[in-house]
Amino acid sequence: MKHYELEISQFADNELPAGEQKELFAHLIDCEECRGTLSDFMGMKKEARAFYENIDVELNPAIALPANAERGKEKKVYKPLFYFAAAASIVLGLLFLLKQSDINRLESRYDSLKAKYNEVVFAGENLPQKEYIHEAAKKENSLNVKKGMHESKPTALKNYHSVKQNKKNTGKVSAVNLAVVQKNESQYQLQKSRQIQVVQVTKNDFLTPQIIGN
Amino acid sequence: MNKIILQNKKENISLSGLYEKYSEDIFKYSFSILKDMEEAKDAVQEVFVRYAKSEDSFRNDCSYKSWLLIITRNYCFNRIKNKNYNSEDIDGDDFNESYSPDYDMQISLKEALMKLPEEYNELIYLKEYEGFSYKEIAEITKLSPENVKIKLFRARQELRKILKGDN
Repeated sequence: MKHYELEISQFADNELPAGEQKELFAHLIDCEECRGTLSDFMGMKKEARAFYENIDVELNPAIALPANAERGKEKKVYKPLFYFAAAASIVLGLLFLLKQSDINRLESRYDSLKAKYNEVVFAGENLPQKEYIHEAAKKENSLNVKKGMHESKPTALKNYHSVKQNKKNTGKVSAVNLAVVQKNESQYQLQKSRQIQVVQVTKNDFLTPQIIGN
Repeated sequence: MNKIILQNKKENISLSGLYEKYSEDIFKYSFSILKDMEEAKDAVQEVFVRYAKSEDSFRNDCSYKSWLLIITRNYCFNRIKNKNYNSEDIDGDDFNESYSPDYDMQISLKEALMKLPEEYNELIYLKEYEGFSYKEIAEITKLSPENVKIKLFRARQELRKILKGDN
């Protein structure tokens, strides 16, 4: 007769599939030896469990664990702090770079405004060349002579000297004075163009056709 | 292989908490293999030290207890292997008699267990005391569930022979 000791061991462990249990039960009815095996196995299980459950041992408290074991645990606890500190450092670094960029932008803006300010305040630095003024004065004198005003000082030269003196005293040229000089320049240009016209239309120009006509 | 007992419950337990909770189980499992009280006590300390050192490699797919039992098993069998552990040196006085309501019967069971090979004793402990299934035992012992079933059966056959004086 076939015996079912392996299946009995499985059944005792509650690991025998339900389909095989029916076959085992049918066998157990007729097999006294297997009933004895089942009884022994169940008894051993119970005794073995009782044996281990009743082992009474006084273990050292957890504090008796070696220091390096607890240190390992502490290391684990502080590990997240390391990552947090690293992340915070990166963020602070980025903020510093952004701040630095802002400073550079503001400095650039300041320089630009300062340049514009200087352009306005020291616009008079670009004075007309002295030679140009003298030429203008010479022309003006020439016109004055024609008008009979021999001793009159040329206006352009007067204004130029005035502006220059003012700059020497105050360290800068006012926009008003500069405007005066520029106005004189404009007047000179106008006078020059008129003078050219005057020069071009002479008495000979009217006589020549008559001569030709003659 | 199905992982039944090795489900991680995402517990956050300190080393001291783990020790308090599982040290007794670790001791008994160690005792089932080493068959010596003092050796088993040393094993408990050593297992928790090893756990602390290897915590970074802790498998998230298993429970703390499973991880500790695996460390215990590795430690105990290495201990036997490296020191040519001789189970015949076991001193019966190491046992506390308070566990036994039937002294003669328990002594004979104790003697029978001490004569069992370590791998059988280990399986008896995991099955009868821890109540693990074949699959759960297989995960700890690195055996197949089928192999666990057969070895447990052989362990019982051997134990029965010893208890009946057939050995």
